[in-house]
Amino acid sequence: MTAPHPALLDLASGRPPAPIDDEAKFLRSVGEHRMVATVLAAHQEGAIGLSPATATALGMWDLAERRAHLLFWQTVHEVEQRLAPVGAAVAVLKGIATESQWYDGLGQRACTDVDLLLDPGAFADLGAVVDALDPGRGDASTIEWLVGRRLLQHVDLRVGATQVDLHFDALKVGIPTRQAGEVWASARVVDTRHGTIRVLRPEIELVLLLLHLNKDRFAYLGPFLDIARILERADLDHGYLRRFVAAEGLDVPVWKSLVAVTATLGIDPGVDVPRPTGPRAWSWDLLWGARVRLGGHEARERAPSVQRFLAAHASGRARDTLRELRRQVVPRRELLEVAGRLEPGRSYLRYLAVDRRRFLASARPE
Amino acid sequence: MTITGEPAFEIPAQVLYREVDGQMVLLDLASEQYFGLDEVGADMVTRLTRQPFDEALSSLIADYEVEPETLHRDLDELVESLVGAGLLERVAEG
Repeated sequence: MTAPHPALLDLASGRPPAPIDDEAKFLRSVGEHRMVATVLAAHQEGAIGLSPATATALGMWDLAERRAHLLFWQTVHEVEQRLAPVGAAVAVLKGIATESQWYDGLGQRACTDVDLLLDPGAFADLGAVVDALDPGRGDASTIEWLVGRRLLQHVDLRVGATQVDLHFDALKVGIPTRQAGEVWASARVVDTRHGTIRVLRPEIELVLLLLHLNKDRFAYLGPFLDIARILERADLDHGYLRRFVAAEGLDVPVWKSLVAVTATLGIDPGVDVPRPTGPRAWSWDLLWGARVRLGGHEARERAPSVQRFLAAHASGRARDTLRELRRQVVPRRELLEVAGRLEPGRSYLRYLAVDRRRFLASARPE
Repeated sequence: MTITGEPAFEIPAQVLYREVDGQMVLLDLASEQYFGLDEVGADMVTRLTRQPFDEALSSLIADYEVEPETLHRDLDELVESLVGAGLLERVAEG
């Protein structure tokens, strides 16, 4: 486990930071847990005292993050331009969308790619959308076919130098989002310093970010701050939030994640958070419990497949969950090829055998 | 001729910068190179990008115990090297 340096947890929780004896070790933890902006701000404010060399390193890191984010903004606008002739629109998810709404400046929230949600109204012409964004792929018709059968929830595209995760399903937890129409219809257009973008309403964004923490197995501290920011800064409609989560059957992963984050940071969620019980809650604790959280890269690499279990923690979704399990156990060859997990010409059966071993190894509770 | 009250120089849009402990770290997006300025260099750049050249020079002379000619020469050299590196540019006259 590469847990965050105690001073990072203190800073994230708004407590006076623990002493930093080894700055090199601290700096590694800062990078791993995506806390550069927070630590740099704390240093500037005098909350922690770092050596000039460490502070300069953080300053360089901060510039690199800002540079990447500027590129992401260019990519978003490039995508919008390329999709305009096709008549398709996108909403920006997580990453720079979260940063622009709930943080104070560029580069404050670490992110590595661009996540976009495609307007469901554009699914009918999905091949044209994919061709417009990543003309070199050559599998646009396959993607359209898979999405049409609800077998594919996202695809990784290259738009210029940027990796774009194009979502066909906002929540992307394996089982289909029941309220896909509501997710899109409730998205709003916001003006940011870097242009106008469409974003999810904050309640759905919160759900998306909480579910994403599950996918990363709560490995990194930085994304915890997203939740804290939204709780602090968004005018959340808690009734809507509860109804949305209940309609998706995602009470266990969402509420348990919210409790995990607020308890870790010692913050008030601002509302009584439901406390799910039963076998799913027990199973969730086993896979995502406190002892496996904030383990950094090591924890994430040790259990890369744990997100596949997320669908099984949805309630009232037995049919969707069984379909998803079947999709995972015997994935279609086309699905593997689109995801880049199986190269054309390679043995499908051999892939399945190797994948089973990897899956079972990562599913073992610690 | 610089219009009184307006800064003589600006940091170009393709340069990101950050002040850390009085020093300045710059990243040129075009060359993807990092640059660093010590406290004095960072102070000079800060003043040049906020004040007309003559005012920046006068305020630096008032704040640093150095001969005016020496400071003027150092400032010219810094400006020349930063402009040459694309990290600073003259504000276009209106």
